[in-house]
Amino acid sequence: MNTLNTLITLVLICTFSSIFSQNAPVAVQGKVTYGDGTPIPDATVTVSKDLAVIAQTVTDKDGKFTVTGLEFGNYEIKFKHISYGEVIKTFRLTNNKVKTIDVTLEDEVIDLADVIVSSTSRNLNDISRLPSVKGTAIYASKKNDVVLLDKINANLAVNNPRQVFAKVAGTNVWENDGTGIQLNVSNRGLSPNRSWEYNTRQNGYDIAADIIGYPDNYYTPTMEAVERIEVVRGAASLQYGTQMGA
Amino acid sequence: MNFKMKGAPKNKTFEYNSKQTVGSYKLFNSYNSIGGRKDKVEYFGYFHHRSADGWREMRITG
Repeated sequence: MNTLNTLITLVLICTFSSIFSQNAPVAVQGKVTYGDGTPIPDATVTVSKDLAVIAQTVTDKDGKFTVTGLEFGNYEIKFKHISYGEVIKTFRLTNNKVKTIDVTLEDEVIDLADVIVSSTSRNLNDISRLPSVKGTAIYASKKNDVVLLDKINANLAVNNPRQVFAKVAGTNVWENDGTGIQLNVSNRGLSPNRSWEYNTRQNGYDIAADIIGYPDNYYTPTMEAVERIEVVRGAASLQYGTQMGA
Repeated sequence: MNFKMKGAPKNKTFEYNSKQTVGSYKLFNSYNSIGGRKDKVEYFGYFHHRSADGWREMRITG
């Protein structure tokens, strides 16, 4: 009798363990596709349980994946491909059937923060050019520079001409008072004395004493009140009359 | 060479600027302006002052 009992018990244990071993390793499978049905190969499939990664695989060329060797329980499955947005799903394994999860990945749209590109150099914009034609004046083919005084790095409080005219090529400067009262600049190697080789104007009106005979510049506007200085080089007699400029 | 002076601001009815600079040898420079624009009326004016005791130490000898 004892022997029979033992035998029955053994048979029962074997039966249970065989049922158990059949149920234990279950699997999840599925297919990853794009919105239009195209399979997505090489998408990463990550299965985790209680925040711990259990298994990881990638989809094959048909977008299919299989993860085997799972036990019963609640899982989280994450699908990710570098070109598409991430999808996370949860599933529960309670019987020995293979769980099938098909997902569709969508394009990933990320709104990036604005990128503002700005220049740190002020010196790119402190010199401008005159338009080809302005009013009755033709500046096309004339070498010219427009000094924009609110952009330049110069000591405007003392009318420092070396700084104000620093970007006007070929300018020659004499300083004989050091306070910016009298401006002595020239171009093209001529004498800078009282800027007399220039026809000097303020808002288009001559400010030299005798523009034909002795066109020296006794007076200089304070640079703090000047918006810009237009320097036109070369003879301009067609526009301004004889001997205007050297 | 043409000095184009500052003028009334583009779209403000009133604006003022005041800038003072001091330096060695009693340099004092002051630039002050007001200006404005309303429709076709515009106004602008500035006052400027600069004074200094030369630009080097004055030595009286003899």
